[in-house]
Amino acid sequence: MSAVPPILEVHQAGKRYGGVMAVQGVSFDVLPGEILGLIGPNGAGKTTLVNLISGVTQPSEGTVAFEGRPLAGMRPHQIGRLGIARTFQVVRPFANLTVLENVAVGAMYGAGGNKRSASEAMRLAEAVLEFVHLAPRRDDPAESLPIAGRKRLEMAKALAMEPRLLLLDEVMAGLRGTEVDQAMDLIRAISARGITLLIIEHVMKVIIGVCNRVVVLDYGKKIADGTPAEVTANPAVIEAYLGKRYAKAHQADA
Amino acid sequence: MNLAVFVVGIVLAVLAARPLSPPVVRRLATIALVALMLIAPLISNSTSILFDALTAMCIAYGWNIIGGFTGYAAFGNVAYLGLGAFVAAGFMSRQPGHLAWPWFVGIPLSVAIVALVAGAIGMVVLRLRGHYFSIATLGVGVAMPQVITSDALFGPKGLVPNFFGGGLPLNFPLAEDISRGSLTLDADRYFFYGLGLLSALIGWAVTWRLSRSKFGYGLVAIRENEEAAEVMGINTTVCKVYAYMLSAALAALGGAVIGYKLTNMTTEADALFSTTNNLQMIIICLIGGVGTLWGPWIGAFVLFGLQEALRMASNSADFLAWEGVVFALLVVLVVLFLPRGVMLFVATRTRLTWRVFARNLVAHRV
Amino acid sequence: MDFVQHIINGLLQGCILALVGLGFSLVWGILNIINLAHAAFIMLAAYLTYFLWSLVGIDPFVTLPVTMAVLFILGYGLQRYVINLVMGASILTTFLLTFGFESLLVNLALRLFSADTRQSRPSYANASLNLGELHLPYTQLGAVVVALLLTYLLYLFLDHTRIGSSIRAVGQDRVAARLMGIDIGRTYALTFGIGAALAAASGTLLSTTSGFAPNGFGTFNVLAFSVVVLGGLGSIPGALLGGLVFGLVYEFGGTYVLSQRDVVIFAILILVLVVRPTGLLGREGYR
Repeated sequence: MSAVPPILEVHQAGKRYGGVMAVQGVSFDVLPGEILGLIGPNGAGKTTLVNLISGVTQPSEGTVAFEGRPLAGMRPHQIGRLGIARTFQVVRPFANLTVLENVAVGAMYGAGGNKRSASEAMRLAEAVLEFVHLAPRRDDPAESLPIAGRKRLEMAKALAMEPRLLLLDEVMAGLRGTEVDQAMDLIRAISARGITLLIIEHVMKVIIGVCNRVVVLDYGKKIADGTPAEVTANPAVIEAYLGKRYAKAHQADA
Repeated sequence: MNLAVFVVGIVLAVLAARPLSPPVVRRLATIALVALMLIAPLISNSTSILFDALTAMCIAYGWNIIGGFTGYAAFGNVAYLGLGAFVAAGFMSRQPGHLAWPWFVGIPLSVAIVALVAGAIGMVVLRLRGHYFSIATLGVGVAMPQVITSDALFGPKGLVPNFFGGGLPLNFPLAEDISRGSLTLDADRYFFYGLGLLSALIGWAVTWRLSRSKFGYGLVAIRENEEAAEVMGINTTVCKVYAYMLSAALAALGGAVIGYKLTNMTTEADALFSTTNNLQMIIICLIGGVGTLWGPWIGAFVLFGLQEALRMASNSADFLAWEGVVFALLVVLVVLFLPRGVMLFVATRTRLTWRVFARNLVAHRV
Repeated sequence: MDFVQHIINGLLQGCILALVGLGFSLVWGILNIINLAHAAFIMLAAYLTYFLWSLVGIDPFVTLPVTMAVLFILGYGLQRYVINLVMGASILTTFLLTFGFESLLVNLALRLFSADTRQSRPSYANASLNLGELHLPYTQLGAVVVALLLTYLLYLFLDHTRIGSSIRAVGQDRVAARLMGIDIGRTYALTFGIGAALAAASGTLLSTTSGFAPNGFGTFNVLAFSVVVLGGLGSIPGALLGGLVFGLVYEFGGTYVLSQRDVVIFAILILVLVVRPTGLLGREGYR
């Protein structure tokens, strides 16, 4: 397809919980520099897939490779140091640390952490807080932030790890209109820094607004892969989201 | 006089701990505190309770690393306290079959060995979380004295024959008073007090270094959210084991110094491995402030200052008899009413009112 | 024959250990707290039994309902008015709090009752049922009957009464139970009270089968925990199985392996925790 090797290759990945396949035979590539959206109805296996990539759970089958290196058997901290950072859908701030310290932990232990002292990490953290517009709250305890602030903090912690691939798990959920716009600007700014993004999102406006390409999951399987325009016109996708009857009516209209 | 040392010590430690006061004040208070501790044996009538406070502080600094910074509620550090004393005695004893090494070899070696033992135990128990971790470590505390007295390991035909005495009593060598001409330096007053102070300062220094290091931040991140910490690149397994080893090493250091002063390990084993010792390190941290640099210092001085005050106010024989009850009551009261300890007032702008004491209960009741 | 006698001794002892674990398991499973005052409850009941026997002359087995009632009230009050206040706090809090109570009660007992070893020895204390070369002491047999009966009664209570099902509901899902109109604080207190009453029963039985002193009870906490972990949290048959296994371990560990029983128990505990954390019969909820 293109001469550039993909930054992330997911090949036939599957995850079984008990007798249920939460994810099954999913394959896709992420190209360097792109913003790939990962969408699907609730329970489609999106977060499971992010867990597989970040090493939080091990795949039952299939492989995941980052920059050509297979991630099988690696622990999350190894993957984090390799250059993949992620956020959690339910944010996990270090509640009793200050906002600055939260971010500094990412700078201490992320991809660039080894060569950095604690005080250098603090300086990098300040720069990241500036970038995500959280600098005024730097000395407040993380638990004092409102939800939008916490989502930003979650991104700042991941960014401070200096990842080459950033996985964002529903960072828009719970945000209001203007906050969503600000967060979209932030995602574009992150992308402009050369960081590849894989974003899980429910808000279609965000997917259409920022993504170059979209992968759609339904019941743990990939049902579509293409540009936002292609995907939103895809009958299988519409069916997955809105049910069979609506999909037929939609096609009849078209 | 000791009471005065405790009170002034608390004031200085609070000044040094206060994040709101200017750095120069904090530094001066720290220096003054060390100076106070250095001259204490000259002005005190008996340094015995100061020794107790300082060694307990060292052990509490140890617990603070795993229980406070890392957030793993360990309940068996008393095992390493006692083991530290026994191993040091094994090296230092002048009885037949022992090595008669001097304290500055025997004690550090014992600390290192205990740290390794704790590392091995930690690799197993640190896979557990929550209640399971706590009770497993409690089990370590229960099992350790039995392992030490086990014939299979340390009996006459054991793996390391008679290292812990076997059939014979195990004794530290007696520390002699130092005499130079007309000047006599009492061993209890100077030598053991000095060792106690040294152990406390080591505990403080390790914690000071830790609290501003990457490793220290890693531990706190684990406490706050282990899964998030792992994803952020922290090798949680290794960090936890190191923290546990460090924690055990400080317990062993304090334990070895206490044991050295007690001298006879065979008769004092129960005292070393006691429930009181096990609880004391935790309650000291709680009184001062869990997971803080100055918490163990303040906590130890408050606890032993209180003890000294009670002893002075009451008939001392009576006090000894009720000490255990008073201590247990104190544990209950602190846990219920002041779980963040004195640090709550030191580190934040909280004012001392009755309402503060009820806050914990209001926040956490069902 | 010696071997068979050991097995029987182990099983008899195991039934009492199962009872020790049962109350502990109930409190842990429903309230999600480790009650380290459990051993002190056992101790209190043992003393109560002893004094009622030695001073008033009441038979230990007759005392049983009395000690259970007294400890139920103590446990209920403790949970209702103290522990309930910190149920939402960290593990360290409830752990330390109950450990504090344990230490308080043991130290009080040391002060008031001294460190002397006591035992309730009714007239039939030395008598035993003899089957050929096997000896089954009557006190042990009585203890086994009581332990099994109480285990069965707890099962019936949890499964077939309204209060029992509300206790199980709270253990399953506190929030949902509250929405269903169950008073959580009261249910917790009730559960804790029952746990204390079961501890009391084991204390009364233990006071007849062996000598005791305030300091000897600490191991019962680790033992109760081990019984529960081995059998599986939230399982009555599990507690019974765990108790029997540890009864045998006690008997044979003390006889053949090591004089250090606690080391053996601890080794088994760690092994189970690492290999199969849900225990042999563990499952979600409580039954």
